[in-house]
Amino acid sequence: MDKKVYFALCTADAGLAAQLGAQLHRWAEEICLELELVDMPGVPTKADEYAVLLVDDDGAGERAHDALQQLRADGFAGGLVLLTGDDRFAIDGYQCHPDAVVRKPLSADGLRRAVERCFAYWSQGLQWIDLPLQHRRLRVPLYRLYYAEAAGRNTILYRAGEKMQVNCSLSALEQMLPHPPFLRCQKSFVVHLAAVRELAGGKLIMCDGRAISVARGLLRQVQTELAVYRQSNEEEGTR
Amino acid sequence: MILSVAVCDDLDEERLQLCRMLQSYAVRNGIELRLEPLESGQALASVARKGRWDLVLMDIYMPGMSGIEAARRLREVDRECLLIFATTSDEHGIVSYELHASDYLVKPISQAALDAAMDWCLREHRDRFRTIWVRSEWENIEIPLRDIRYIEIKRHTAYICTGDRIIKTPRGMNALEEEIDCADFLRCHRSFLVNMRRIRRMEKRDFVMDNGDLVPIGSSDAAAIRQKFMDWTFLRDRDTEGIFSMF
Repeated sequence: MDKKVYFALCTADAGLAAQLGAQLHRWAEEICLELELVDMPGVPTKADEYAVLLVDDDGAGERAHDALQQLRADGFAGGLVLLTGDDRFAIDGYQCHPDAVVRKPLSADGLRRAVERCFAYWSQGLQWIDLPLQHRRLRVPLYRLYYAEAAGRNTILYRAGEKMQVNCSLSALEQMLPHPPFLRCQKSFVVHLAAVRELAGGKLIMCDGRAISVARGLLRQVQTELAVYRQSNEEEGTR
Repeated sequence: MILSVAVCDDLDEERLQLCRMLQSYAVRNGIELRLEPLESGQALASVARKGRWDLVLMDIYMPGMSGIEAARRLREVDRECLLIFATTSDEHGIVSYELHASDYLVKPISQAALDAAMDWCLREHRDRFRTIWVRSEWENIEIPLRDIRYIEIKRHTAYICTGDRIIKTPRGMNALEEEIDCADFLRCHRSFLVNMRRIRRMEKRDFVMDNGDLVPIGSSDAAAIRQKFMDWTFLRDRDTEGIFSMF
């Protein structure tokens, strides 16, 4: 794992490519994925190096499907996402068996759901960390890690509805985590900014409902970083 | 191969025609077909449960609950069942992908179009439908891989624990492991091969299976086995709870 993955954005629409690029970069940062995007005006004739192709219909209709069918016939085994507002184009798309279709105009959520459907193709680019656990080592994905809490010399990791204690200090763990999206908010907690539901009364309310107080000395920094993180997300969502 | 298929269409003639075409495909491909014709989306939604069908053929325009709504209900209980829309509508192409459909056939449907859709489904999901043949006592038995919980070897005999019984066969572990050759199976001990789809949780020295049986984890390679299981769980069920709690 921990390997860069390549996505191809196949569209002649420069504005759409820029929008897709910004949203995908933000998504990749949030889930700790090593992602490189490559723009191209149409479907490439060879695509072996790409984990996922995102193909805009661009009014190309059957030509896009023919090119994709040829790619599949030539052995392209990566993920395929079509971008269209046309139901007929989507139905004809079954000829090349895409993994997902994103409805145009694009929404950030729709795009995320679609690329998440291609998980098997890009998961090798996810960042994992190697941690000690009861006299052995364990590789843990950072994907959907909400926050980490110090527990003496150990640390408790929290993800959706579950937790796990590992035998390393919070400070040592913090060194391994990318910043952003992870942020120290007090001496006992490191949080993922996307897992924060709100900041109220000097406390972070996390998406699992837990309230984590913010150290007074760090409050301004946390406020600023959270605001910057959210603002860029909103901008991408409304573009 | 045994295939359990629901055909949901409100028009008797069209439902019958789809069933005939499926029967024809099954005969030509050596498939034992278990067909369940259903005449409304409501009828399908009311009996849907995880694992009931391998494949559902779904009309969209039906009185009462539409095929799209019925497919949503189906997905709430079964994320893995294959779904093919068979409809006169060409207005639901985009939403069909959100429902994880494998194909979308617009009526009138030719036998060739249905065959192509079935071929792709069975090829793409071949591990799900694979079976092995074993000789047990005086009979040859076909066992779907998904029915196997684990295999234990004792004194040159394999005991294959399936959903409803234990099948004895004079085979060695290496030969069985080679024949099964499926990413869902893990050699977790010198004498055990376990189907990870049937593991409920992992304890310090054992896997706890979905029927409560314990399958031991080999002590010499325990860390690597546990890591393999975690990687597999993460790749398959990344969004669900249970990855950390395995440890």
